Amino acid sequence: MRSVSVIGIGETEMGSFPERSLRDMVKEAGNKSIEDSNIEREKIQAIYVGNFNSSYLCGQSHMGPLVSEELNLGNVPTLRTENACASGSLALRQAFISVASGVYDYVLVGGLEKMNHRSTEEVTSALASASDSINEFGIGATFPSLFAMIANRYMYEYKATREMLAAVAVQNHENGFKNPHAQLKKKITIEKVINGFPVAHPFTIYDCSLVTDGAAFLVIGASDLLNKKEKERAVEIIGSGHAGDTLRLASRKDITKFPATIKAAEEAYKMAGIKAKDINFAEVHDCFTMTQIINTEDLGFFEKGDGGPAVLEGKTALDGKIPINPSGGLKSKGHPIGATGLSQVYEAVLQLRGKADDRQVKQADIGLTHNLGGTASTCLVNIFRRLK
Amino acid sequence: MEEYKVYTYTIINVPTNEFKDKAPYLMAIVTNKKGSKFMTRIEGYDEGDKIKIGDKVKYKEKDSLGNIICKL
Repeated sequence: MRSVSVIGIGETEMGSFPERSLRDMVKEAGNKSIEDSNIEREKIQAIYVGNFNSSYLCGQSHMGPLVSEELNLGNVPTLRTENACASGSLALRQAFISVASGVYDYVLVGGLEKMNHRSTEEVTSALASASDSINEFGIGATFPSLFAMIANRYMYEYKATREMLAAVAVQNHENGFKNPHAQLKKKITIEKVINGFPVAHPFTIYDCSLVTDGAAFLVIGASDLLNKKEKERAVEIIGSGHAGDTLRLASRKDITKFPATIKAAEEAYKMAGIKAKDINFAEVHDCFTMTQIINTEDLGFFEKGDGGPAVLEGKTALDGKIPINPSGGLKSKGHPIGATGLSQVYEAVLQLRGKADDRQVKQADIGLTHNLGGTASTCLVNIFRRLK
Repeated sequence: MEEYKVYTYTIINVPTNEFKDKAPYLMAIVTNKKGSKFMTRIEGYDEGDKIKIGDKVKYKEKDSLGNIICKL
């Protein structure tokens, strides 16, 4: 397998932009990533694009040719990936395999979503279609409710408190406040989270990630083809993992941990030849406050049951032992479904380049991204290091 | 009527389009006598009712999709 590096990154500001078109977002984020890579666009041999549900929300399927046309990439082959909220990371995974295997040398990877032009109920339904259409969505479940059921069971088994969950939101908003691309640049308090508008018990609106319009793009390439200047800014993908699980939550024996994460992380750590303790910072899938705590345990940063207290103790803060979601995460930066996994990579690359300004983590040698699809029915984990 | 044990639950305040008129409503994963789990909606919930893990709920009916609907 060849070494593969991220050589260019670009993303839009994340937010509620009902007036922005899909094409407009592709143009901005796609061109930024190509310009950042410094390669001529003729070198790009394929496009992999993650998009969850523009088919329903925007009446637009066949996203690959739209991207190719908007970025003047001619007749390159394109492919759209969809595994719910992990669609973007899945595009990266497939692109990574295509370059690592030697099929292509340079590939453009994109992700995008546009949602805020639709009503809350329509967006809730569009998202819920990533659960089981009969026994979950079909009986009244929403994504907040599925993760709320996980939270109630987790709190029962591990004596986690409401404050621990709320502290995740408070911390991610602290970080997002420092990110110019974040949707909700606003500091909040534990009281505000707990007393927020109820969505699905125990979650209030402040436990939930945001409804976000946005796009994120990367250019990846074979590391051995890069010149000296390109190598200086390149970030190598040293580990990649992908695993799955049942679609229905109730089919699982234990819902307080996510085997898809555990397996994907195992694969990525093994490929990278490192252990969880070697990771300096991580962008993890905080679709809900509870999810972030479970993720940090599944990834091996904390023992089972210790993830909640760790947040209250500041261990996951920007200046903590293992900074989690320096970007602000899905909670504060935003959750543009198809773009989410790639926006996580955008942050990891910025941090590893030492260009994250006010939110730069002190030690940034090795970073990890973790992206879930559905009720942890899909998981992708990537590990990055500056190219040596 | 068969009884089930609540394994976990939530009360939904923000529903999908299709369940707009029912909110707030109670959903749970319950365990049957054989120990297998399934997801259900529990009818008869009024705002403020107390529910906890381990509570018993009863079979009410099957919906048009074949899902078991329970009652308190």
